[in-house]
This record gives sequence, structure tokens and C-alpha cells, in this order.
Amino acid sequence: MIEAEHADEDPSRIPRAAWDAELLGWRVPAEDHASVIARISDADGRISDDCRTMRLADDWSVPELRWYQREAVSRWTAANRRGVIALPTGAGKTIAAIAAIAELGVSTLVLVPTRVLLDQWARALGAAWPHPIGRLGDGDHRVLPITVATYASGVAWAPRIGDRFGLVVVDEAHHMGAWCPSEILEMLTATARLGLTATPPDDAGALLRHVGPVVYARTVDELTGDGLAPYVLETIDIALSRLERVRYREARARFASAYGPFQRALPGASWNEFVRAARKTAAGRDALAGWREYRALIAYPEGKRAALRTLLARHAGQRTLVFTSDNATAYAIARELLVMPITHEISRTERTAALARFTAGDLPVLVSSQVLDEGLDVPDADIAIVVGGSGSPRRHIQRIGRVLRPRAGKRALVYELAVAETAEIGYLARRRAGLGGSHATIGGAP
Amino acid sequence: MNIVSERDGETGATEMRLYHEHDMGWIASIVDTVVACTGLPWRVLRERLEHSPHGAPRMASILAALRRVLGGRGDRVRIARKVRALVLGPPAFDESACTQRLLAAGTELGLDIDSVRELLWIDLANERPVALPDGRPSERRLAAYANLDRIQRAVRRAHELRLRIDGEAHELIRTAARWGLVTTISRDRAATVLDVLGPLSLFHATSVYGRALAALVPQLASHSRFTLTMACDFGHGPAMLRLVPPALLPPVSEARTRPSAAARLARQLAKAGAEVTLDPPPIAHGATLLYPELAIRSGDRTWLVELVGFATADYIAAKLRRYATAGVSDVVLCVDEERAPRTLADPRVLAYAGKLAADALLDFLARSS
Repeated sequence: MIEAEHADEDPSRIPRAAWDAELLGWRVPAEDHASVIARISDADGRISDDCRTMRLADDWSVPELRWYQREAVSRWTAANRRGVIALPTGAGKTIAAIAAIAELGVSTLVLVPTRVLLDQWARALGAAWPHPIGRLGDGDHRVLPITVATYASGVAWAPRIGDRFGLVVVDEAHHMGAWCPSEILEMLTATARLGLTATPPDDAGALLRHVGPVVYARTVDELTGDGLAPYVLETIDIALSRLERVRYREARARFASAYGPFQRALPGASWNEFVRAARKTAAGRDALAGWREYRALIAYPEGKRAALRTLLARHAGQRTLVFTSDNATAYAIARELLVMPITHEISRTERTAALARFTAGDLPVLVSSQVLDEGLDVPDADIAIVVGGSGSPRRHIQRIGRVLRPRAGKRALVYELAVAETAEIGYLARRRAGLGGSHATIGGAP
Repeated sequence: MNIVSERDGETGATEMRLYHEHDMGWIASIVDTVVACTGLPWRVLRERLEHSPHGAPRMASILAALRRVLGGRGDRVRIARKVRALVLGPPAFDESACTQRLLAAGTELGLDIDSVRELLWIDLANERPVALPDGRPSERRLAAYANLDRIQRAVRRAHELRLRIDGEAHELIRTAARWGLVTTISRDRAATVLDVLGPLSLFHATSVYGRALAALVPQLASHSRFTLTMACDFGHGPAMLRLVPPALLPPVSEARTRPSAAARLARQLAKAGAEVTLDPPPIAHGATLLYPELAIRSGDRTWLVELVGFATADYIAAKLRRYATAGVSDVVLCVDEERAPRTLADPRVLAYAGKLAADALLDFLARSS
């Protein structure tokens, strides 16, 4: 609540101000708090401000920063403490953010997408600052000068606590505007805003508005061998069997026979529009069935099955993450090889136990389609086998980052299995673009 | 309330079309697919149904119905986790390695190899095998559960709804109270009218409230004459829906029940020596009906107690006004702070968190006396 008096100021001229008949006052989004104060002060208005931001005790023990972490924090500070730091998974974004919090020394709200990250952040902050850390989410409702909240709890709590923090850190900030609703940031008075991501979004409208531009970015290849473990990316060409090839062509032709004419008739139409239209006719439904069929076929054909077995046998005993394009493939691999799948259906308790066994080495292989991509504190792994995936560079970077946590003498291996002469080759090229720079690639059979 | 102002809300309302006898043909073809998928993962059944020509919106309700009829909810979680912990490990590259692993787990758990194999994914909604424990499911039963799901989906997207029951509707009203719904009850000649706030008008705990409201729907099966009118929003503008019998619904005996907090409190109060009546007669004043859940005798006064679940400050204020207008001054509204944040401060309101203890209520009554 701000109470201000100034004879000449017409509140309706304040951007985004709206009259609230219940409050009998003018409302503006909390994120405009500082600009409204400045506007009234500049006009010599009298102000009483109930904002509850506070200073933090200065007894931090922040781990020593790597060169790029130092650079990132100083760029963010120079950018008026607003903006996004983009560093690959495993490069230590959390440590950089903790250094920024320590340097600024004001009450801070950290927003994270998942309960696992909430726990991970609370532990990291607790290790650097010897005071209790507040938590909102996963059954906790404790608000303290440094509080970590899930996006979902952030939405619920922001109206009540939005005036308590001087800094807000948004982890996995590429979710801004979608998973992380913009409303949370609108309801916070914090002027300092720090976004963290491995993969800035292409459409960064919401992020730009509520957090700021990307102020510092490094790619996987720029940090390889320094902040990240060196790695070799090996692409393994998979050939379909004759029968599979026939089935693939037949299914793809069924799909193309409806999709091609639809695209020509409505060039700007989205995929969802196509699906809605296709469902209405027998030919359309057949095209959709063809689409599902050829995708299922290239997700896990005989060639990938054989290559996966060869690779797992070659790296027996080494901690390996297997990434698939869908849950069906993840379960197919789990059933065939009796390895642990990590999917959304596996409960948090069981996942935690599985990750502990993975760390201990008695569960050396985990297979997943999406859950391991981000938002889960995955222990150090040496090998990643990408059995299937989309063309999304973001997803690919997140996946590769899972094996790039540095360790003395470590050289990570990333295998990508791609079915030659199919749509998968296109996906491969698109997702590669996100890695930035050159990397060792070896083609051929495993 | 829009619905209230338009008597019975008939104006502009679209009739909800539920599945009836003439839908049994295509539902039978769905059941054929289910039978053909016996033993396969639910994921496969789901994909086959989604590819069927019956349309995705229909399939969502049919799948929900199948899960209820076939017991598709993941069960045997503990044993499945135990089996997975024993069986899943380093890759088993050939059949004999797999068999050995399964046998070892079976020995440890006292199970044969087929049971171990069956239990491995039994708790996972999409991976567990489709099973028909009672044989081929009946089309009518499936249709009834699909109807239930469709109505429940609609009420979850309601701003407000009005349920007009010809005759008494005590059980329905008690169910609404048990689930803590924001309800106003009135009489219109021989009919009982429940005006219930929809989840989209609550602004907090929307999905929890939506689930609670959905729990009211199965009770409709016990009424042969009713009109349900809903102002909904399915994401493409407001829609007014209307439902009248005949409605093919599952029998009420299969409905989810919720233990009554009032009954629990009455037992505790009786144990503490209080003279307590559970579900005292409703209080009628004009068209309004009030349903206190407990009557507690304290000295020469009888306190009427109502447990309020979800609420807004306005709702509580209106309820207190109605009691006052009906001439009842000895009334206590017990308000759950979790479901009704920022409750109205009033000497007749006892706010509590978690479970309401009998001692706390008796203390409150003693202070109020």
C-alpha cells in the first residue's frame, strides 16, 4: 500500500493504473511499485510506503566462482540488476545466482518449476547462508527473508507476500509466461530480477517484460573442458530393415496424402488445426494413424534396439542415461532389458530411491522420455544415449547437460541414434543447432 | 446470480445430451476393442480408442468410464514398487538373464515368475495390463459412468449452478454440506432448490472445489425429477447447460462417500458429556431453508452449529443474516480456515484449522453464553 498526496498528479495518467471501487483507491501492478514511487517523488509528492523489503545478514560463505560465473554476475549487476543469465545445464547457474543474492543482500524470492528443484535450491542456499530458508510448496508454507517457492505456490502466495522481496530469481526462466505465469512477477515489488536458463526461449516477450533481456550467455561448447566436462558426440546411423522401410514409407505416404493438400490449402494453419480437421473424416483419421505409426516405427526399430544393446554392453557398469522420444519406448526398453524407467508415472519417492541407487552404482542405467530432461537433480552420469527425441534444441541441450557435470579426468560420451532417410535426420539437424560451435562427431555403426 | 434471476434458468440453456439406449451400438464396438486389448498395456487401449472414429471428446469420457468400470486406477502400489526394486537393475541382455532376475525376485517375495512379471507395472495407469475381472463390461454401465464423467466435467467448469429437485433433497443437501460446498437452499412450492457456487467463481482452491462439487453429481441418480442448470465456461465463452431426467447414471450405492465431519464431532461431543443432536430439522423462513448440522444443549440454550467448508466472507455474512432473519440467534458457524481464507470476523464464527475439536467448540459455546 502506498499513500501519496500530490495536488497536480492525476493517478489515471499512471500507466496501468485502475480505480478499485472496493479499495477506494488506485491499483497498479506491484511490479510498477518502484516507478510509481519515483514518479510521485519526482513531483515532490508525500509518500507513505508499507513495503516490507529487508536487508539480509551478511554472513555468506559463497563457493569460489568460475570465470564465467563471475562475468555473468557482474554483467547482470551492470544491467541494473535485471536480466537473464543463460548457461548450460551443469555449468553452475545456482552458484552464480547465490553470489548475486549475497552481493545484493536483500530479501529474495526464488521461483522454481518443481518440488525437486525447490528442495535442491533450499539446500544450496542453506549451505551458503547460515539461516533458515523459507519454502513455499510441497506442503511447506514458511516465508522467510530468503524463500524458495514453486511456480504454483508462487501464484497463490504472491498477493500476500509480493512486497517482501527486493530480488526475485526465476529458475528455468524459459518457462516464463507459460508454466511460470506472468502474474507472479506482476505481483512482486522486487526491482532486482534475475532469470536463469540453459535455453532462452525464441519468443521471449514475457521474460523480457518481467525479468529483462539475456545479459550473459555461454554455450555448451564454449564451456566444454572448463566449466563443463569435455564430451564426444557420436551419431550412429540406424538403417531400417526392409520390412520396416516398407511400413515406414506406406505410413508416411498415408500421412502425406492428407497433410500435403491441407498445408497447400491453408499454408499458415497450425498442427492442432490439422488434427482437428483430420479427425472429421475417415481419410484424415487414417492420415493421423499413419503419422503415429511411422513415428512409433522410427522411435525404436530393430536397428536402434541392437545399437542400444551394443552400447550398453560396451559401457557396462558406467552410469548411463537413455533418452527416448516417448514413454512407450522408455517402457519398451525397461521391459526388454529390465532397467529402471523414470517417467511421470513413477512416484517421487520411487524416483528418489532410483536416483540414489543410480549414484551408488547398483542401478547403472536410467531410461526416460522427458522427466530427466530438466527439473530433476540427476546425479553425475558419464554416458547419454539419445534413442529418440524431437527437433527441439532446448530439450537436447538439457539432455546433454545431464552428463557434462565436470569431474577430474572425465570425458563424457553422448550417442545419438538416428534412422537414416527418415524425418529423424531433420530433427537431428535442428537440435544440433542449439549446441553452438563445433564438437567432435563420429558417424557409423556402434 | 444469473441463474437465480432467470427462474430455473431455462432461457437460452442448451440441453446436455447424455448417452442413452440408442448409443449402445457404438459403445459395443468400444467394448469389443477393450476385449481385444485384454492383457495389453492400457496405453495401447487408449491409443486404439483415440484412433477410433468416435471422436476425441467422446473418448475422454469413455476412457474415464472404462477406468472406473474395470478398476483401471493403479493399485497394488507397494508390491509393484517392491518388485521393481528387486527386478530392475543393470541391463539383462538375454532371455535367461531376465528369467534369472525375475526368479530371484519371486523367491524373495514368495511369488512365481508369472506373478512377478504381472506385478512389475501393475500400479502404473498406462502400463498395467487391461484386465476384465468380471468378464465383458456392460455397455449400459459404461454409458452410465461416461454420463457421470461428462456432467462432472461440466460442473468443474461452472461459475454457478442451480439444482431444482421435486420433493425433499435431504441427502443431497447433506452431501453438499459434507463436501463443504458454497450452497444456498430454498423452497419453491414443493421443490427444493440448491444454488451452488461453481469453482470458476471461487478464486481459490478452484480444482479442489471442483472435485468436491463433482461429488454431488452421483446423487442425482436417486432423483427421478430434477433440473440441473449450469453457467459454464469451457474456454470459448459462456455457456448455459441444462440437464433433466431421464439420465442414465450409475447407482448411488457406487458413489464416492465422504465421512461426515459433523457425525465425528457429534460423537466426540457426546463423549465429552454434551447433549447433542446430529442433523436437527431444517429451519424454514419464507423461501429460505437452513440446515444446521448439530444442535447442542447448553444450560437452557440450544446452539445450532453449522460446519462451513469452502466459503467467502460474503457467503458467511449472508448465512448469518438468514439465521438472524429466521429468528435464530444461538448459532455458531465453524469455518475451516484452509478452505475459507480471510473469514469474516464475527462473534458467531469459530475459525479452525485442520480438524475441529469438540473441546474447542464447547469452550467457544461457553464463552458465547
